[in-house]
Amino acid sequence: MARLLTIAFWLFLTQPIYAQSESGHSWAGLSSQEKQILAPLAKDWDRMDSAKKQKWLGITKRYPNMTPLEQQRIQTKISDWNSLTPDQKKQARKKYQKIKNLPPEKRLKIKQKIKQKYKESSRFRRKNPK
Amino acid sequence: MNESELGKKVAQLLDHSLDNIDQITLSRLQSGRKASIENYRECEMLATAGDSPTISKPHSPYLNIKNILPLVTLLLILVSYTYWQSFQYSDENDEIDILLLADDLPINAYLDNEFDVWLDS
Repeated sequence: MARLLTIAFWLFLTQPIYAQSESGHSWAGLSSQEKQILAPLAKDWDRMDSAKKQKWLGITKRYPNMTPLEQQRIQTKISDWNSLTPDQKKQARKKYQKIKNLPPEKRLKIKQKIKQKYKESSRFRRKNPK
Repeated sequence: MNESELGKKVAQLLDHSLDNIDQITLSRLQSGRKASIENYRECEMLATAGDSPTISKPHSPYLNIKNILPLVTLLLILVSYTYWQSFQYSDENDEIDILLLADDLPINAYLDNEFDVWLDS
């Protein structure tokens, strides 16, 4: 009985590792539309684990229903998002939810302030390249 | 008289006595036999229903299933719970990630140390 319990718990603990090691969906196997949407991830795609691939493929399914502006934003942010660490992603999600829960007027005001700051800093970077 | 002859004589006497046994003694012997057989059966039933079932039926398949069933149930519950939790967590994050990517703020803004200052302003 004790031996059976040990085997059962070992299987239980190793199951997520097996699930993650299964990478599935190679870049070559994607449809042309999926490749077009996920183009910024082309280099890293085949090294990604299955869970990440599923997540990005889920986004490609919703992509056609988005506005052209949203589609453009996603395209420009995909690569940056993929390069973040899990902790950074967690932090970004938390802060996104904080700003989302604000009253609409306050949210708009804060967003404008942030966008202004980022416009200025990108203008500064363009004027003073390293 | 040697031992073998003596034995034969005793057997003859016993057989003779059995033929001439009276009815009262016969019925007492019969009821005594019946009582001892019943006692033996009761003892046997107690042994099979006792704390050590493996002594009477060591390789019963029913007993094996009975032992493994709680373990299998526990394993199924654990696996189902993990799957349910991982799917729910992943679904929630996927939804937020899509909204975050489609949002008008750059990703760096969410990682900016000044973010909380902007929120409090």
